[in-house]
Amino acid sequence: MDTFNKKSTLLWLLTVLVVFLVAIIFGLTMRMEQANMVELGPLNFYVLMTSHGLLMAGVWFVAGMAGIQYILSRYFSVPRWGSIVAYVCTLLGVVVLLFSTFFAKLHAGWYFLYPLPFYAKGMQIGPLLFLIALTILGVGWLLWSLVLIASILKKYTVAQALAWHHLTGKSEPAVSPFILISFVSLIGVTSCILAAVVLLVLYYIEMLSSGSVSNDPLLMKNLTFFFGHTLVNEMLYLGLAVLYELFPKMAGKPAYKTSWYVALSWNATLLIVLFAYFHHLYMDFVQPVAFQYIGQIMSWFAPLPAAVVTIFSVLTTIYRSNMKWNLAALLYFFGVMFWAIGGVGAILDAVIANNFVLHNTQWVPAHFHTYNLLGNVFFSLAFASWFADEIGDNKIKPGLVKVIFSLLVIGGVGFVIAFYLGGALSVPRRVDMYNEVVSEGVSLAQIAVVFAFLYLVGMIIYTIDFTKRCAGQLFS
Amino acid sequence: MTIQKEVFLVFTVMFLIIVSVFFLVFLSSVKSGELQNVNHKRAIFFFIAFGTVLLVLGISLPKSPYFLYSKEEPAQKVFVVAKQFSFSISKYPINTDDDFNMSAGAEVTVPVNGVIEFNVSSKDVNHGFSLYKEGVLQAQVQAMPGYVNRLRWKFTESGTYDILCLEYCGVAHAAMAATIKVE
Amino acid sequence: MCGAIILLSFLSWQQQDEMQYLLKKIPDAEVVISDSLSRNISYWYSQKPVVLTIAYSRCPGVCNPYLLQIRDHISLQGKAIKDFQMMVLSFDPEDNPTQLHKLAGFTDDSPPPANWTFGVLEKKSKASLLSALGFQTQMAGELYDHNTVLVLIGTDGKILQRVEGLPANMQWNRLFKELTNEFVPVYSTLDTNVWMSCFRYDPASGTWRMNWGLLLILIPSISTVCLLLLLQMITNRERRNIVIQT
Repeated sequence: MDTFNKKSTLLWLLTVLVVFLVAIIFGLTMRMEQANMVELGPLNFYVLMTSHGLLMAGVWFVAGMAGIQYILSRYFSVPRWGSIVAYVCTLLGVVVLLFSTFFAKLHAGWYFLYPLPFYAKGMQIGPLLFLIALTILGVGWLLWSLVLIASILKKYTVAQALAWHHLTGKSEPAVSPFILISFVSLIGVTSCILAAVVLLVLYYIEMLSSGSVSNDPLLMKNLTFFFGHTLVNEMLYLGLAVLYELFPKMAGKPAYKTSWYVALSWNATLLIVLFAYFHHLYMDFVQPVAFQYIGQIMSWFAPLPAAVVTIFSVLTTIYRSNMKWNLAALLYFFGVMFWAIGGVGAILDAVIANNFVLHNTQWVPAHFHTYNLLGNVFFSLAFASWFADEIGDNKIKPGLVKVIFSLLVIGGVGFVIAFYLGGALSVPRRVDMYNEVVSEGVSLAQIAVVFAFLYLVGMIIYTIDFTKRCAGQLFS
Repeated sequence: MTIQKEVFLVFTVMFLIIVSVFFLVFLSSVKSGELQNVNHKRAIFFFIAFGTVLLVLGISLPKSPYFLYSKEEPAQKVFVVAKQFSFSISKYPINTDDDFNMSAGAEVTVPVNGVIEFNVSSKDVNHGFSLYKEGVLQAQVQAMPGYVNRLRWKFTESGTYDILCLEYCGVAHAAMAATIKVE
Repeated sequence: MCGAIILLSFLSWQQQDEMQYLLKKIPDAEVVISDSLSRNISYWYSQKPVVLTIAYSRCPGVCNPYLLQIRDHISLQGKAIKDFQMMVLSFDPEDNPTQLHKLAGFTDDSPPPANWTFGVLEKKSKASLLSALGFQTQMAGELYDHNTVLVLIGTDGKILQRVEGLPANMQWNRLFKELTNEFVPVYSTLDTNVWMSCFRYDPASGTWRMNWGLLLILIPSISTVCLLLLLQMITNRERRNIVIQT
């Protein structure tokens, strides 16, 4: 094994775990404010909210990318500089970002819905710093994604990497599901980062024109969610690509093959995901109704191919497999389960008639925390655990596996159920305190704090164990 | 039962089904053997899921709120303009800052069981306009600067309805609220 | 698929910027309706929505057939008649209401319905009203060159619709829908300095048309495809080498 590859992946994972802990603490503090357990004041609350959202979206995106880079370089050589540039940009971007939020008090939310950054109180420099941070992150991630695409294209043509020949029944050249899904996800990642580029350019133009040009809020909202929704969606698929590669081996089964339906479903996913973001604009009645309907149709078709194929494969793999469960396998298996549950929450909200009373209530954070906190994070933690077993000096203690896994599951499930109940009780999201009309929010927040704390403890134990077992390798 | 609670119920049922399936498979993993007729079962699974999706789309798309009461004549037009961090609600169009200030904080009364057309817009950032009755969200629409969203709604119960801002709009977002009276 | 929809809708070319007139309040111009009586235009629109058009009796061209067509169309809309005021205003100082009657094809035997009003615009306030309506005139010798517009004004004095030329059937339908309070989705009030917008409200058909700004949503997908093809070209040689080796 190439030492650069090992060390760079280790560095990415350690960074991800540390930033994740910080971002959990931000989130926990927000819930404590809502539960009236601390006194932050609204400005600090929204500063935390902005930082929490962007750190979480960013950190699990790079974790997925690091996993792809590591597995991909077991297939063929992947240039190093993509990962290096991305790492430097990520660190720099995060520093500028935290500076813009904590120092310049920018608090426009992680997807900075136009024109809020221009109206938010705080220092004048805040929006500019924030946009610069996003530009740095965007450039680094775009390059990384292009480098990975290019390294796949060194072996396959675009048509081959998309497994189009598998659709017609040919099996040569063989394209593993990992390559296919990575390729599909990287294409999605590239296009959503490019959407962010267009968005940022429009922002810069407005800023530099000092008011003589302004933008169309509806256009900006479309671009914002093209970027925001697609990024968050694709990063799940990055995690799934690695799952397709590692999971069958953990169960002692033969590697997954790309069959015609696997090829078809991921090609369909590639297209469908790009149109699902319309569901974020359901409550903007000015958006043409045709778009709204496309939004609901695509949101409902999106889970069909990927989820049906993946969930079914994972279940058949485990069924009577005589499996020796380790932490990685547990996290993968139950990660898929929670991904499915979060997906149910998501498509229920993607029904326009339901969204009418669920939009911007706690149902929204409920579903996306389910498939991030308990889905995507589990996939990346599973990869990290598998990676630690590969390179680490010793294995994790079985007792510790039980402790970590139970804390994460109990903490995570309790935490998201508080959100689901909030949604059912019409409690709004993104508020630092609850209007007396929706005062149930306070007790739900108190429940959530307890469970978030359990999750945090689980993550701290996981991080300490991971560091103890692997950090030495960084300097070997 | 409110729509929210129905959704929660459906979600809970699906939650339990998914957890039971995964748990049964998890328990089976101590045994060895294999699933028979995998392709056949996958096809059945797919067609059930596909059929469900079509069914739900067919039932739910026509229920979208865009054309609510579109054939009826509104009993009252109500103009709503949101601005950090208050709503101005009036039976007359709100254009200038003076219009806004005049109606800000004033409570409007609308008739029960008549179609009310809310013309909702914003003077600065995106806001959300939502109607709550005793803590239950009944209807909502976004308030986007530069656009007027028209929401038609029929209040079937009289009383005071709360209006909360439902789109994050800045520091005092949580405090942005108003009321409307239905008689 | 979505791309195709978007491209198709671009092909159905939209009318240029009727938008700029919509929802603007018209100046309260003075109208002379008989030798002894003049009133401000708000007198009419404050009671009922006003369908307004501009003409002049000496017109050798379009005014007469235009008004006749409007008259015929309105007479077909039995239901809506009581819901609005129809106003025909002249910008020609030499005009008078009686001549305008004749111009619209009404005689003593067949007088105009009660909701029709004919008047001449007072000189002082004329220009500002005409420009708010987007009505252009130019002296050509003794006579005038001008365009024709039909404008729907709401009870708050704002332009709700504006049709240039003779309204098509669809435009009439929309006009009467607005009058009878049927559902019309939305109007945009975007600032004038917005340089790229997704949609333009098209008063002609009463629908939203896609606008150039929407192309920006396609840029990410299109440039991703271009990048992919570019990368495929760049890596061409290396791929061939691999094939040869194997």
